[in-house]
Formats: sequence, structure tokens, C-alpha cells
Amino acid sequence: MGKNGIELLRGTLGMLVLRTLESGPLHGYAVAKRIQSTTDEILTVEEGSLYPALYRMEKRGWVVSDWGVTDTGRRARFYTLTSEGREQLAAELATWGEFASAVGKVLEAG
Amino acid sequence: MSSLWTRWNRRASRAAGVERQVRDEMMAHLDLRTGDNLASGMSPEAARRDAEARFGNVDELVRRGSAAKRAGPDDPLGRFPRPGGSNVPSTARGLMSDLATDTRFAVRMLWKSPAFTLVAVLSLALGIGFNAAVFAVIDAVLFKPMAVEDPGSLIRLANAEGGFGSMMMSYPDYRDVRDQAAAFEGLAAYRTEMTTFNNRGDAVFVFGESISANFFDVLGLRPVVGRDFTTPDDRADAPLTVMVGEAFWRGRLGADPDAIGSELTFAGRRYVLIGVVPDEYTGGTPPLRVHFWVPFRATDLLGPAMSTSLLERRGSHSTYVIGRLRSGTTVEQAAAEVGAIGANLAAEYPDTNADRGIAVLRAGDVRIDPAADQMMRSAAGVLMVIVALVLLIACANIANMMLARASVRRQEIAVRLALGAGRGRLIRQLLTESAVLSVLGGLLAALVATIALRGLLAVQPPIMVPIDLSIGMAPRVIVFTALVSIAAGLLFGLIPALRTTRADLGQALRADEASAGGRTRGNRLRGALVMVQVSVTLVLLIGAALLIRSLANAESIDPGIATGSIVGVNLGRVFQGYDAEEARDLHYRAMDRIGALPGVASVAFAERMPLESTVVLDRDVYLEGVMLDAGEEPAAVPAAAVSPEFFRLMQIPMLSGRAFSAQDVAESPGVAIVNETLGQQLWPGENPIGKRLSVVGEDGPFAEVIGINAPHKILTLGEGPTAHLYLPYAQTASTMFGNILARTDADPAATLAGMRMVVRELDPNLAIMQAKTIEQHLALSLFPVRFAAVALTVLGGLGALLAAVGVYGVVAFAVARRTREIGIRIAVGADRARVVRMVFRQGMRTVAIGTIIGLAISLALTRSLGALLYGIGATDAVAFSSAAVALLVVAGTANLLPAWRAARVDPITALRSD
Repeated sequence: MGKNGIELLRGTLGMLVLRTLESGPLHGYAVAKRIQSTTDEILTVEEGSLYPALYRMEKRGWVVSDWGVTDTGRRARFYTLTSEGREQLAAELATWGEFASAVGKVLEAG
Repeated sequence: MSSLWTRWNRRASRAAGVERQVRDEMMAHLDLRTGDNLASGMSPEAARRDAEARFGNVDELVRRGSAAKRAGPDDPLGRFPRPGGSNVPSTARGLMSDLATDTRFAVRMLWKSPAFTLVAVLSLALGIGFNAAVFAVIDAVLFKPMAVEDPGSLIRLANAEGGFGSMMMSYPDYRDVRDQAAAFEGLAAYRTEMTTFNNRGDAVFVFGESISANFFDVLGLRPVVGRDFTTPDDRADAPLTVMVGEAFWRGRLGADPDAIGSELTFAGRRYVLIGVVPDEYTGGTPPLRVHFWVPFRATDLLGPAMSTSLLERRGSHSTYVIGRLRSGTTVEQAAAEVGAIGANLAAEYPDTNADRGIAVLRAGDVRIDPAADQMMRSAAGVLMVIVALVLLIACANIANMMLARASVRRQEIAVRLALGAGRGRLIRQLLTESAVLSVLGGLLAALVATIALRGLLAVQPPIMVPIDLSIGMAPRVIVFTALVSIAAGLLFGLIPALRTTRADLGQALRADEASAGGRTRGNRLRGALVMVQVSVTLVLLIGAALLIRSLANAESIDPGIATGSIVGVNLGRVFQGYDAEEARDLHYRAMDRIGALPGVASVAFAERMPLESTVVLDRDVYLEGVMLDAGEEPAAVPAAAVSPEFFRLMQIPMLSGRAFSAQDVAESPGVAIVNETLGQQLWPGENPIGKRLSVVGEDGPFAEVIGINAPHKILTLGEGPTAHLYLPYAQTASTMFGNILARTDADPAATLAGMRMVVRELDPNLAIMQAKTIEQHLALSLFPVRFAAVALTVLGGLGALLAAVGVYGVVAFAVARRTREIGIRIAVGADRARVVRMVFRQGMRTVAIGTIIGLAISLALTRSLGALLYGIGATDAVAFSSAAVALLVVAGTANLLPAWRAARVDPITALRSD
């Protein structure tokens, strides 16, 4: 996958996408771009693999989507976070926090 | 049915819609990234490339995306291969990742049906393995190029008349061509020698070559150790020198480099070892491997004593000539020059050369000589066809099984076609499965071939000296095996792949439905493949049955000579400087001593034994008072000189007259014994006793026929009445061939050991070619038919096994597809026995047609077995019918199992299953 960046931990892509969509509807490319730019390109996503993830989230009802038009006038599909999606994001952030602090403790105890 | 069709149709078009949407969305992504890239100053190409590189393999992601969008636990799409590893979408890399995906997928599919995979790989391995083994033998005998420098510019001289033995010319002719022709960089001569090597008191026969001093120079061969011959080695006053082969050097001299310079004893003379020839060079007469080389002048010392040196006899044709063309000279130019020299020689020496032109042949085009090569090539062709048939059966089997599997997967494939998967892509994936099978089969085949070759080479043909074929899995054989594997994979993989990916979805689905009725093109094709299998197998089985019956007949043939308690040693031809009288003296002395061995009741001498396969001695027979017309040839008759005890020892009675006696000596009047066939041939309607004939010339000396011996087999067990003449050894010019026979009351092995000891005491340089009991002697004459019977039985049995698997597979598959129909039949009250009959009858119809075709082919082919058939015709009804019955029983059993299973179908389960 990424040549320089860190590969995403399994399962964290969904959390990042949900977090990105919190600010408002975005199309897939914008989601990818936003993740990369906010992490200063440290986290890279194989951009195509974003879509199967998006479709799965849509199937579970965390996002809804519809066709729209971008600033540049290109037709694209926009994704909007649902309330279920917000709940899911909250749950995942909590889990992540626990996980991160647990890892931190182990490392400090090292 | 129509509702099902509509349902499928709707599902398929919905699936296609999903995929289109996914693709549109991903294209938007690529466009947006490209736009941003352009804005940041990239060139249009670089912008797009970067966008694609970041995105991954679009096709694969469309597939995954569509799958995710529609994913559900029961969806057939769940079975799609998942990509792994990198998805960098350069075309070559994309193809590679497809290949890796396909291979993983194929392996997984094969792993899931171990029975199919095992049967397919095993039948392929056996089929390909036998082909590789036979090819290895044929390659070694017919095609392997000489292991010398630039074999392409080597030529050989031949008698322009052609025919058997046409590669041999006289040494004086060679010398004249060598000295006069300008076309050659070098022209070398060699002559095959058989003589004895005395290894510290133990004499053995070895093959070697007398060669001109420039021989290895012309071939471009360097010794492994020591030096090559130079011109002084061929001078009459130089010490005798010898080179030996690497195998000989390792086996007998312990690979000792210090052996160079030591003395070795050949034919009772000592030779200084000067060099070792690399093993790659096996000699000028493959497949015979020769072990030593001496300068040409030694040729007279290795064989029997002669009045004139072989080097001076223009009428004696036993020298092979090989040469290297001068660069820029064509074969045609050389042929013209040599032809002219040949014409001059014919004019100068009309006695010996009148009918001999000299031709130039490319060395690569000749193995033994053009006539013998032709014979070997046809034999090789027959062999290759037989093993190719076995492979064909195996391939038909696998194609059949794959067709069956493919039609099970047809729904999955139809959906994928509907989703827009390329047909080429699907065919590639299905072929990958065939390729995985054929690679596995090919690898195992190499093992099968190695074992088969070992088995084949362990069979020692009935010749006096073992031939070293040095056959192994040479690179060419491995390449052949690989090519055959690929061809086989395509053969059994392509038809199923093409059939199941037919683009018309509607047709595929309809055909699928229709197959429930059992009469689709797919079923017909499978039926045709089974027919091919059955007919080819029957041909092999009939061949085997004919040979087995022939063997049984041959074993019951009365050879007309004694069996039991008789042993013999074959001295071959006595060499190393003995002349004819010395050889005769040696034979007599050996008989005296052997007669004194414990347990030996009587001893006899026979120049040639009845049924001895390696020596046939024909003598020209002249009748007293009959002058031959000019150009008329005397009758050539198989003849043998024997001692008086021979007839009693071999229990060959006289029908009339008397046998030879001790009083028939060199000084007494000449006598001879004929069999009835010869008597009738020479003097039709008259009593031969008292008639006189000569084996020397029309002027005599003549011998009187004193007896007519009872008939016995002479050349082969299968022969009809064959003319034969016996002469007393005491009155016959010795050919130096000799068997010494003894009737013994002791253990035959002990007597044979005693006989060996006697010969060694008489002359330690004399080797025994063969020591055997009379039973062993008779068994050897049946060797060809026994070998062929075993080979065809193995191949026919293998074919029958494969065909049974094929029949079983097709019928079992048909039953599985018709479970529902059969269930309904049983539910509405069909008799179970009737179901069995119905299924069985349909399966056997195919088998029956195959049997009829096989019988027809066999009728046309079995004639070629002619010479191997004893006491039966090539269309022997018993052999034909027993082979057919055997095949029908095997096929019937294979058919009955699934038919029986069909009858036990539980209608409730069957109806619920769909």
C-alpha cells in the first residue's frame, strides 16, 4: 500500500471516515483528501479501498448518499452522516481512547 | 421455469446496474484527483497516472465495491476471489496480479474437491509419465545428437547402394578417399570391435573401436585425462596404446589418474593406457556404448587370426567413416568429389568395387544406417502412438470431469458474465485451473517416468552383451514432459472453458435448465469423450489379449529338442589370434575336460543352438551334378556343425538313416544330415538319403546325406517348417562360433561354474558370453512376445481403469443432475428396478457404441502384431471377444454403481433440494 505513510490499522478507516463526515456531506475523493491533509500525509489510504468501506457503512445505515455536483462541476456521490452514524462514531472513539491509553501505559511501563 | 428465468433476469440486470453506479463513482474520484494534480502543475499524463496509482486496481475495486454494496451471506458473489497484495494498475502488473489471484482461486477450488483433483492428477501423471519414458528411450536411440564439437558440419560416407549395413566400407577405400578428397578438414575411420579384457585373470567381453589416429581431432573431443592418439601410435613398430572410456576408467581402474601409463590386457596383448575419453561420447554406433579405443593397426590383433590384414582387404566392409567438411564446402560439393573418387576406385578394382558408389550423408541424418533407421523410426512411431492413446484417454477423462464441474458452476459463471466480467478473463481463470492440474500432473509424471524407465531398463534384452542406453530424464526429456503437460492441459481445459463461458447468458441458463432432460450438447460431448475412451482402451486390451494368447500358445509349442538337465556355455566366436584349427582344438579340449566334471553324463558341441537368436549361420548349398547358370545363386540354408553326441544329448531322433558317429572324421567320406523340409526342397519327391551336396562349391568336396532328423524349431518358436542342414564339426571348416552343451545329473549351477572354470584354465583370456540352462535358453526366444504382452497389458489395464473412472463420472454426474426428475418418477410410483434399468441403459449405450468403434479400429490395426503372434490370427475371435467382455464388465460395474444409487433417491429430499 502506502510507500511512505503508515498503513491504517485494520478497522480504523471506518472511524476516520465517520469523523471526517461529521463536518458535513462530502464525496469520496474529498474524504480521502481530507484524511490525508489533516494527518500531513502521514496516514495514506489506498483511495479506491475507501469505497467498499463507504458501501458497507451505508448498508449498516451509518451514512446515506446521493448524487450531487462538486465545486468544479463534476457529478459525484455525496455521503452524509446519519444519527446512527454519529452514535457509531461516538462508540468507536470511546473504544479507541481506551485502546490508545492502554497502549500508552504499556509503553511507558516499558 | 419461466418465473425462475425472470427472477434471474431481474437479479442479473439489477446487479449490472449496481456495478455501473460503482464504476461511475470511482471514475469521478479519478477525475477529481486528476484535476487537482493538473492544478498543481503536473502534465496531463502524469496527473492521470498518479491518480490511478493512488486509487488501486479499478476493475478489482469495482468488483469488491459492488460486492460490498450488495453483500449478503447467501449471495453467490461471496465466492468471488478476493484480491491480495499490491494493486498497482500497470497492465503487466495487473495481469500478474490476476494470475496470482486466479492461481490461488484455482488451488482453492481444487482443494475443495480432493477426489476430483486426485483422480485428475494421477491419471495425468500416468499418462504423461509413460509418454515421457517412451520419449526418453526414443530420444536416446534416434535423436540425441552426438556429444561432439559442432555436429552440424560432420558427414559420414556410405555405400551409394543403400540398404542394411550401407555405412560400412573397406579400409583401403577409406584410405584412398582420405588421401584424395579436398572437401574435408579431416576424414576419420572407426571399426566396432568386440574382444576380451583380462581383468587380473577374469576375462570379460568388452566393446571398443579401432580408430584412425585423427579420430578424436576430427570429432573435436579432448581426453579427460592423459593424451589423444597421434600418428606415431598407428605405426606398426610403435608400442600398442589404448584409450578407455570414463566409465571404464572409474569402474575398472578406480578413476586413478596414475593408471595412465599402466598396461591393460586386451585379447591377450598388453596395451599402454594413454588417455581417458569423456563419458558423453558413447561411440560411433549408438545405442551401443563402447569402452576402449585402439589405433586402427590393432584391429587385426583383436579378432580371429586372418591370412591378410583387414587394412588391406578391399572386399571386407566393416569400416565406418566420419569426416568434417572444410568450412564453406557444401555436402553437395563433397558428394560430387567423393562420388568421382568412388567411380575411379570401381574402375581400378572392379572385383571388389564394381557395384559400390560412395555417397556423403550428413552425420546428423544417420543413426545406424538409412535402412535400419527407417525400421527404428516406424517402431518408435507405433510406440509413441500407443502411449499417446493412453494420455488421450486420461485427457478425455479430465475434460469430462471438468465439463461436469463447469456445468455445476454455470450459474455462478452466468452471473459473472452478466455483471460484465470479460469472457476472456473468465476463460483465463478456468484455464488456470487446468494449468494448475497439468503442472501437478507433469511434476508427478517426471517421477512416474523415472520409475517406468528404471523398470524398462531393468528388462535385459536377450543379447549377449548388455547395451548401455544411459537413458535418464535428460533436459530434452524434461522439456518434452513440460510441453506434453501444457498440451494436455489445453486439451482437457479449453473445451470446458469455452463451453461454459458462452456469452449468451440466456442460452447458458436455458441449456442449464434443459440439461435436466439429459440431452444437451454438453452431455453429448461428454458422451463422445467416453466413446473415445472406451474405443481406445478396447484397442489396447485387444492387443494385450492377442499377445497373452500368443504367449500361452508359444509356451505350449514343442520346440522339438530336449528340456531339463541340460546346460550350455556360449563361447561366442573365439578371438585373440586363434585360427580356425586352433579354435576347433580349443573346443575339443574344453569338451574333454567338461566331460570329466562330476555329474556330467555327456557333452556335445554345437556351432549354433536351435532357437539361438543372435547367431544365424546360413551356408550356400550346391548339389552334385547340378551346375548353376550364370548369375544364379546357390540355396542359402541355415546350417550348424555339431559333434556326434549332439543328437542324443538334445534328443533329436533320426526319422531314417543314421546320426553322425565318432567314425565320421576329417579323413573319412563327407556326411550330412538334412531335415525333411530341406530334403524336399533340394530333391522334390525323392529320398534324400544317399544324395550328395557341398557347402564349399559346385565342384565339391561333396558330402553324402546319411540321415533325416526329426523336425525341431530352428529360428523362432512360431516358425513353420524350416529347412536345416547338420554337418559334422570334424569335417567342417570352423567358423569359430561355439556352444558346449552338457547333460548333467548335478546341480545345473554347479556344473555351469565348473564349465566356466575349465574355460578359464584353458585360456585365461577367453571370455564366456553366456552360461545358461536349456530352459533359460528357450525363455529368451519368447522375450519379444512376453515383453510386448506385459507392456500392452499394463497400458490396457491402465486405460480400462481410466475409462471406468470416466464412465462412472459421467453417469454419476447425470444422476446427480436428474435427482429431482428421478425423485418425481419414484414419487409417482415408478419401480426402483426400472429406474436402475433406465439409468444403466443410457450409460451403456455410450459404452456399446465405443466398443463397436474399438472393435473396428482393432480389426484394422492388429495386423501389425503379426510377427509376435504364435498360433493365432491377428483377428482371433477369442482375444477380441474376451477383451470386449472384460471392458464391458468394467464399464458396466462403473455404470451400475450410480444407477443403483439413483434408485435409492428419496423423493422427499430430492424435491426439496432445489
